[in-house]
This record gives sequence, structure tokens and C-alpha cells, in this order.
Amino acid sequence: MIGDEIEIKVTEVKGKKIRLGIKAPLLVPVNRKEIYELIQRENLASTRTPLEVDKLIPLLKS
Amino acid sequence: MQITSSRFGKIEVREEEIITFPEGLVGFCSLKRYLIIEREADRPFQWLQAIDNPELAFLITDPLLFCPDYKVELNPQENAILKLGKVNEGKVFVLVVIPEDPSRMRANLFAPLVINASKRLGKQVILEQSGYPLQYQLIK
Repeated sequence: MIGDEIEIKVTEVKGKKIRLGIKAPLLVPVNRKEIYELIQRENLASTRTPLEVDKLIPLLKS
Repeated sequence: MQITSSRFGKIEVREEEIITFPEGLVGFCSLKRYLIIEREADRPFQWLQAIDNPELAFLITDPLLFCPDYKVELNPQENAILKLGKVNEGKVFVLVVIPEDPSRMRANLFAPLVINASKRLGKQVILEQSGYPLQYQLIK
């Protein structure tokens, strides 16, 4: 246990790998790595913008 | 200094225009120096061109144009990097993605860029508790 609310358990041991189970209230950011990966994906997508952005801008005004 | 951007061709970069992101952007931690490129035709969008990778230019915009109540709060660690006297001195941009169907263009309100214009410092902050979406549709 970490504090009163976070519980960490070893759920599986396979050779040199162990799998941890984490039980935590929703507000605790457990999935930092996942959040980072999602942001990284959006960041990368933002560099793959079509070349002629100016032609797409009228869409915003419709 | 001159760089050759794959999107914009040759660009002359003056030292004082360079914005340093000491930690890079999320997923791009080795790229720390950027330039904001504004072109009249691309308004309301601008570009954050990576100086050390000419192929990377991020499409950005001012979130207040689309979401007037948008608010960014920095924690002390974030402000230690940005060195802002007052938070409202920071200029906020969000990254924009234009997918294959451009009517689905979206902005990342969850992880905006905050820039200290006078000190030329920037940081991508993660507004974890804000409830702002990672993919906010710009066209309703």
C-alpha cells in the first residue's frame, strides 16, 4: 500500500518479468506513460499537416 | 544562421527569435530550439519550426480564438522552467492536427505550449486535472 488509497500488487511473475497491478482512485495519474504516448502521437500528427493549409482555412469560417 | 525547412525552404533565423524549450516537446525531448513562423495566408495558424530538425514544423494556433474561456494554470515546477513573473505574461498556443478529412481538424487543449516571450523560453504543459480534451474539434 502507498498511503491509504493506492495498492500495488505483483500479479504475475514470468521469467525476468513481473506484472504489477495498481489500484488507485481516478484522480491519481497512474498512466503517465500512456498520457505521454497520446500527447506524443498528437504532437507528431501536428507536423504531418497537408502542405496547403491556406486552402483549408475557409472551412473554419463556414 | 540559416536553416532549410522542408516546408518553408531557406529561412534566415536571427538568434533573438529562437525560443528554447529546455525539455523539448513531449516525445521530442532532444529538440530544444524553435522558431515561430507566421504567414498571412495561414492565419489563424502559425508554425513552430524545429531549428535542429528542418522536417519538423508543428501547426499551432491561439486557443482563445476557438475556446474563449480556455485557461492554463502552471504549477511551480512548470513556472520554474518558464520563469514567468505573472502567469498571464505567458503566451499560450495549442497544437493543431489536420487529418485526412480536414473538416475534422482538432486542437490539443490538454497539453498546450506556454511561451515566455521576453525570455524566449517555452514548455509544453500537461493540464492533467483540467478536463480539457486532447482532441478538441475546431469545426463544430
